[in-house]
Amino acid sequence: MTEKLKRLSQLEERILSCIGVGDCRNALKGPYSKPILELSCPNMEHGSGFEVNFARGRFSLARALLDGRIQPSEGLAEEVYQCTLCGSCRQVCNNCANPDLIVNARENIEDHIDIWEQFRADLVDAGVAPLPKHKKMFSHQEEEHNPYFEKHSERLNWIPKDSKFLKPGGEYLFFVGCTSAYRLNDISRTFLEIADQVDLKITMSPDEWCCGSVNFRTGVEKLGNETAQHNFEIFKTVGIKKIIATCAGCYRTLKIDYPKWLDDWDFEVLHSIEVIDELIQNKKIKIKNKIPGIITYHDPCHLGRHAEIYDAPRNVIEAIKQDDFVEMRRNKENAYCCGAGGGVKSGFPEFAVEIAVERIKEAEETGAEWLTSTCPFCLINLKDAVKEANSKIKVVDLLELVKNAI
Amino acid sequence: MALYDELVKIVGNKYCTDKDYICVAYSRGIDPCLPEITPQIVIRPESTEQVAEIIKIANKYKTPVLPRGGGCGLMGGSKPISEETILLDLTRMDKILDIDEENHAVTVQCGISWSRLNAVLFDKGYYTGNMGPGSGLTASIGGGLSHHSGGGGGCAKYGKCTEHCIGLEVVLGTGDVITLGSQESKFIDNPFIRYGFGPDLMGIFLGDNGTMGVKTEATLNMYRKPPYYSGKTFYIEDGSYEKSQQIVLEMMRLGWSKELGIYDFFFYPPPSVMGITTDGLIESWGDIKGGVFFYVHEAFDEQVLNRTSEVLEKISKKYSTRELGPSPEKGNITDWFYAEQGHWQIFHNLFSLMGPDYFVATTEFICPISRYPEMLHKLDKWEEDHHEELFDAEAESGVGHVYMLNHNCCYFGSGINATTDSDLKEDVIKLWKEQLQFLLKEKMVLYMCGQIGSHVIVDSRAYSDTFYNFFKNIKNVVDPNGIISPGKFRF
Repeated sequence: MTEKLKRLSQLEERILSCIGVGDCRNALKGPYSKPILELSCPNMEHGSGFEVNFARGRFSLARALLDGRIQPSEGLAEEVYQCTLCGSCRQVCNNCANPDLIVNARENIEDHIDIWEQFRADLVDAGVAPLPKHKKMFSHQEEEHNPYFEKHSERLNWIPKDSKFLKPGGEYLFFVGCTSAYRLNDISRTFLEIADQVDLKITMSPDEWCCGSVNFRTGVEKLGNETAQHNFEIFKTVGIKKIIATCAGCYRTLKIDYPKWLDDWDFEVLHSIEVIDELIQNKKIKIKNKIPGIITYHDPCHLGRHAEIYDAPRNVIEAIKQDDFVEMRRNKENAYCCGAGGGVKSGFPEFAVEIAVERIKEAEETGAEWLTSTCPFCLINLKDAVKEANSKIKVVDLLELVKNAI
Repeated sequence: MALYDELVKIVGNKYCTDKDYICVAYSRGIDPCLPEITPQIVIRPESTEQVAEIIKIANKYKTPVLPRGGGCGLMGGSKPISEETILLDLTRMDKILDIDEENHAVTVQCGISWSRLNAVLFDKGYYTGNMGPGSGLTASIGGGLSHHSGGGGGCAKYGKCTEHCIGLEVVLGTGDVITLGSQESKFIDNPFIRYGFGPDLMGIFLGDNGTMGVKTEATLNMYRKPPYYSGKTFYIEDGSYEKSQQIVLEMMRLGWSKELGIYDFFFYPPPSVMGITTDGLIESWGDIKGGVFFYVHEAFDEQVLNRTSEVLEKISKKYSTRELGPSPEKGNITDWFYAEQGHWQIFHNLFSLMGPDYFVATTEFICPISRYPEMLHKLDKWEEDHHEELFDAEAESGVGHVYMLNHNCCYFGSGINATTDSDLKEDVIKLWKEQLQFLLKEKMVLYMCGQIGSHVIVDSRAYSDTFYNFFKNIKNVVDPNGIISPGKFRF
């Protein structure tokens, strides 16, 4: 059994480090004055709520597989794949609010998300995963290099063929990503418009493929690795050293996953909102029309908990707002997931929207007119949830508000 | 129709399963030492009515039922003892049913966690006083009430959590539903007091380790949370057992929580402190090697707080070597403990220290204040006497902490840190039982019994025959087929 589950076997010490106190079921931390003690795990809250639907139970499941008490199965995979990999369990497991108290389970377990991904990769090797919907999607991706069942040749259809951004040269490569290419390409256009206004030297490659995020998240490492290798070669060919992504998922993959898979990786990866923040700070972007209406912000898990970028979007909102910026009660490292990540949007679309509806309701509590974020994939799910909940809140990428403000 | 199908009919497919890959996750509590047994079915009811139906079906098939709250049992209380068990996962029953601000009472479904309940109460300026067990971030109200729990904060002021239960709804082993407390009278809608209407039968179900029925709803006293608090941490280099007792006794003479507002008082014996400092858990404590104590006290008036602070500080300084602090950076952990929910995290950090190779075989017990230093010495002696066996089992024995209750007792967080090596499990369990037996013979009270503790109590013949027969007779009345948590207390 353990030969089949080679990754979990290697992770055994970390898996056994889960003592089982179960804080990952219930709680996020926060001071008495403003406690954040609500269900943190979207899978736990919106799933059937069995132990396997949150981290402690998933660790137990991994132990049982390693002990041979159960065997991998498609049913088991279905449970494991309901996790959005939001990382909230990792946040809770670090149960020391006091920086003086530094030894904790998190250090023993290290990174929960990494364990869940390797768990999935073992299930893929065991032949019981990914889910049928994922398999179909990846079959398409192998041919057309995107998970949206679109043609690769149409990836950059939203930009004129003679655009200067398609010409070689420039300081930055704009990595468009699949969602911003095929579904919400307004975000890409907006970014390029802003970049053009401040004379940011940008180039793009029509040869870019999907970043591979969905492959790495669902444990389909081979396809993820092939995708990464291809993009790596493209980046080297383009001859730049800095890559900008508007998608939090692409950003996380290029920034955190690629260096693990690519030996000679030597690129600086930036999220567009970091670039915009710097341009505003340096007064290269001037705010002319402050945005009226209360604004709130959804931290994408891939940008927030995964990459710890919290300040840049908030700095930008502070700069462009005319009225108040009101945080949702769960924000920054305690932000609630939109429900789309980890292959959940493709594997369990209704479940993903159900989670997002909760986030929309939380956004409505702030009284905001604008719910903004920095991830097109989150935005798609949040927009679906707005329809589902019949909400009036306007869901926009933060770049779109910036464009209106300058 | 088979058992499983009948259960599915009650809660639907989504909340009932016999899949091995779901059930297997219920084969453990926090201890990974006692045998892990997978239940045959796990079911998640949402209402008292559903629980009652489930129990009736279980009776029909004579199948054991194990109620489980947060699943934080340290002594095998929240995992099955037999494979045919239907595990009743009660965490779906997590609603706050009523907050009665006029009568300072809150009614909840028993599957809600202590932290979620208190998060709502904080917003209204209240708390439950005793904040449940140390695992209160996930432990349920029902679990706390089943074990006379404490440790999650507030024990010095409010005692055990069961002291604050004023209403209880229980599904008996027959499937009948009864209400206890003032609601024993059918004319009373809202619970407000535990006592009256004859004998205190609620007590049968409190601290029962989940054996006498399934707790479905509870009404707890809630208290105004004082707006002011303060806390100090002190270090005692030598003689910390006796000196910390002197400090407690002196504070008690001056009114303890009633007059001085003491909310919590924790003592960490030197071996525990050494473990904390060696592993760098609290870096600001440096390499101190003595005992450490800290207290937190509350007040509704700032001047009162300042005055009581002076009194507490004076007593503490009289017996201690030096203050750790006053800032958190200098080692005063009380802000974290009280204001940043450290009270629910302090034990978890210690558990986490064990890492992948060790676990806690806890022997927590209640000790009268008068014998507190003596018991610390006796447990040190027990470790010396069992040095060889402990060494062979790759285990260590000790007391992690002692924290005070509200009148004349304290909780001991004692036990054995043991290896998870499966070849040594039997040896560890033997030592675990020996220490529990030792504590019983030293006239200590085991309050959280689970599987192993309840067996040791019965096997050691700690109960008189008359009492045990009485206990069994009551069990037979409330659960005639013996289907609720069978095996505990040798039922």
